[in-house]
Amino acid sequence: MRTFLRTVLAIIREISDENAYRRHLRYHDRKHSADEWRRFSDQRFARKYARAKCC
Amino acid sequence: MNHTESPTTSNQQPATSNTRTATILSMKKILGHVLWAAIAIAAAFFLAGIAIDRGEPVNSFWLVLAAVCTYLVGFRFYAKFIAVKVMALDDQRATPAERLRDGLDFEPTNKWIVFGHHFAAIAGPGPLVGPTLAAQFGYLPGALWIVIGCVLGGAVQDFVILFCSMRRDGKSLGQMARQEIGKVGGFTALITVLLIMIVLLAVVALVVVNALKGSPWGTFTIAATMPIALFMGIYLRYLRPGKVLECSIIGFVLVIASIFGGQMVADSPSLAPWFTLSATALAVATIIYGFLASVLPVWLFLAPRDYLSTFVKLGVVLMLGLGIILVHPTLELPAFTRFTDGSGPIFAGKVFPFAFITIACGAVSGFHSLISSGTTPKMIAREWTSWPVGYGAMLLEGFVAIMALIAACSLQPGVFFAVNSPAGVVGNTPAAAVSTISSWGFPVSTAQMDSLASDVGEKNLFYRTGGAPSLALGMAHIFAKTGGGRAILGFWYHFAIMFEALFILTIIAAGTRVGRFMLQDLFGHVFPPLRRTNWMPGVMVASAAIVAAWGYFLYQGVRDPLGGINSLWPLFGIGNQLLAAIALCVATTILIKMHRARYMWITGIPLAWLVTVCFTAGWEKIFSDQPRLGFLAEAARLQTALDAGKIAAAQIATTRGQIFNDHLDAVVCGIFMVLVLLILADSLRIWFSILSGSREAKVDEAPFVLSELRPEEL
Repeated sequence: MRTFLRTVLAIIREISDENAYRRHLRYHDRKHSADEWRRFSDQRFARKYARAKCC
Repeated sequence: MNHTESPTTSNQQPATSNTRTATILSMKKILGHVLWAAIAIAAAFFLAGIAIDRGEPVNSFWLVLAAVCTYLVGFRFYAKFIAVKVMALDDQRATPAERLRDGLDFEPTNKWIVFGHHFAAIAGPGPLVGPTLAAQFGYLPGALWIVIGCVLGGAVQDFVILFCSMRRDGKSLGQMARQEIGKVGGFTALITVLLIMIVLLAVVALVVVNALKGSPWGTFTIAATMPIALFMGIYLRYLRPGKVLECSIIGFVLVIASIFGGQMVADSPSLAPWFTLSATALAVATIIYGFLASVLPVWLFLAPRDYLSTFVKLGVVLMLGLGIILVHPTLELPAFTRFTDGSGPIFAGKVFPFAFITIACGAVSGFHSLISSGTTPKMIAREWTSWPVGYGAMLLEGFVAIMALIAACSLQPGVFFAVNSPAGVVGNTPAAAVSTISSWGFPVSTAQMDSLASDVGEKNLFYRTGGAPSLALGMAHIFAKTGGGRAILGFWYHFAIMFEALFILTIIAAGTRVGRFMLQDLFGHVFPPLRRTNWMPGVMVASAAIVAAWGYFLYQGVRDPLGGINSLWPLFGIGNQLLAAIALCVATTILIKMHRARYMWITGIPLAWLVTVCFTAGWEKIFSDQPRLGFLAEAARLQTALDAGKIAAAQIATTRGQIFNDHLDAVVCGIFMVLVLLILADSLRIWFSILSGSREAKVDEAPFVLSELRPEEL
C-alpha cells in the first residue's frame, strides 16, 4: 500500500513538473531559489507548449 | 557409511529441490494458462451478452466486464506478440532517455510514472464527447468499436509509434515521416496536423459554447477559472516558486468555490443577466480568450491552467470509474436505434462509416501518435516499458470512452435526444421537439425536461448539442446516486460541465499557441523575423491568424441551424483518423525496412480499415445527394431556394454565408483526403520498391548501445 501511494505521489509530482525540477537541480548541481525555478520553468514551458496537446 | 551416504544424500537433495521447483513452475504455468483461458472465455461471453439483443435493458456492468476482459487478453497476448516477434524489444539496449540524458527532457523514469504521465497527456475531451455523440446509433456500435478498435488499432498505433520514436532518439512523427517516407511525407504530416488542429479547436470550442449558452451558473464558474489561473500563475512565479502541487490544490479549492458561487449568481436576479450569454457572445468570448492565451506569457496563464485541468481530469475519470462500479446503471438506450440508417438528429450518416469517425479518441486517435513521438519516448528507461505505456495507456483511454458511453446511455433515450438534437431537426419550440422525439419511439415530455432542468439549476436543456451537457447529466446522475441524491444533482452537473470546459479551454489555449508556432515556422521561411517566437508583432499576427481560422469555423458552427456538430465533428473525426493513417503509414514503412514485412498486417489492417472508413465518410460528406449529409448537396439546395426567391429577404445574407461555409467544409474535407492520398501513394511506392528488391531496406535506427542503467537509478 505504501509503495502504491508513493508511486501515485510520484506520478502526481511528475505531472506537476516538480520531479523534473528536482532532476534539473540535481543535474546542474544547483540549489532551489525563486530565480532557479523561473529559469527552469521558462525552459520547461517553452518546450512543453511547443507541442500539440491531445484531443 | 555415513560418509559414503552423505554425498549421495546431498546430491539427491538439490535434485529433489529442482524437481519440486520445476513442478511448482509448471503448476504456475498451467494455472496461468487456465486463468487466461477463463479471462478469454469471459471476454467472449460478456461481448456476446451485450451484442445479443434480448429486448430488455442491459446492465452497464456487462459492458465494463466485456471491455476489461478483452483489454486484458489484448494486452497479454496480442501486444506481447508484437513486442516479442515484431519489435523484438530489448532491455539490454540503452534508450534515448539513458543515452541522451540531459536532466530536462531526456531522463530515465520509473515505468509507472511514465505510464501516468503518458496517460495524462493522451486523455482529452475526445474519448468523452465522441462516444456520447455516437450513442445516437445505440450503445452497441460504439461499444464494439471502442473495444475492438482500441485493441487492434489505437493501442497498436500508439505502441508501434512509441517504439519507432524510441529507436530514433525520440524523433517526432513529422521527422520520422520525412526520414522514412520522404520530404512529401514530412510536409504532408505538418500541413495535416495544422489543419486538423484548426478544426479540432473550433469543434471543441463549439462543445463549450453549446454547454454554456443561456447558463449563468456554468458561465460564471468557467469565467472564474480565468482569474484563478492568473492568480495561480503569479503564486507559482513570485509567491511560492516551484510549489506546483500546493498551488494546484489552492486552485482546485477556488474552482470548487466558484461552482457554489455560480449557483448564487444564477439565483441572483441582478447578477444572472450578466452571465446569461447567447451562443454568439460566448463564441466571441472564446475567440478573445484563445488570442490572449496565445499572446500572454505561458507561466502566467496557460501553465497553471494546464496543471489544474490535468489533475481535475484525472480525478474525475477516477471518480467516474468508481461511480460506475458502485451504481452500475442500466443502459437505457437500446443496442441499436433507428438512426443506424443515417437519419440521426445529432449528425447525419449511416452507422458505417460514421460511428467509426465519430469515436476517434478512445478507439483510434491520430493525435496520440504526436504524444507517442513527443515527451514519452524520451522518458522510457527500458524498451519493455513501452509495452504497458504505449499499449496499456491506450487501453485505459478506451476504458474512459466506455465509461463516457455508459454515462450517456444511462439517460432516458428521450432526454438524451432532447438535449442533443438541434432545433433545425426537431423543431424550434420545446413542444415541437418533444413531439418529434416521441414520434421516433423515445417518449419525453416538456414537464420531464423542465423538471430535469430545474434539478440541475438550468432554465432549459433543449438543443444543447455537442455532447457535453448530456454527458454531464449522465455523470451527475451517477455521482448523485452514490450519495446526496437529487438535492445535489445541480452541483454535480455543473461540476461535470466545469471539468469538461476547463480542460477543453486549456486545449484551446495550448492548441492556439502551437498553431501560432507552426505558422511562424512555416512563414518564417518567407519572412525570417517571424521565426522569432518572442517577436511581439509576429506573435500578434500569427496568433490572430490562427484564432481567425478556428474562430471562423466556430462562428459557422454557432450559426448553423443544424447545430454545427453535424458538419464539424465528422470533419474533425475524418481529420484525426487520417492523421492515424499517416502514423500507420510511417509505422508500416519502418516495419518493412526492419525486414518484418511478414508482420506488416499488424499496422496494415488498421491502416486499410481507417483509409476505407475515412474515404467513405469523406466522399459522403462531400458528394452525398442528401442535403443533411453532403456539403455540396446542402449548398445546392440552399442555392436553388435562393434562386427561386424562397428565402426571406432578412435571411438572404445568412443563406449566402451558409452556402459559402458548405463549400469551405467540402474543400477542407477534400484537402484532408488528398493529403493522405499523397502520403499513402508515397508509402506504397516505397513498400513496393523495397519488397521487389529495387530499393535497399535501410533502417535509420540509432546504433545499439549496451544499457548501463542500474535499477536504483529509477
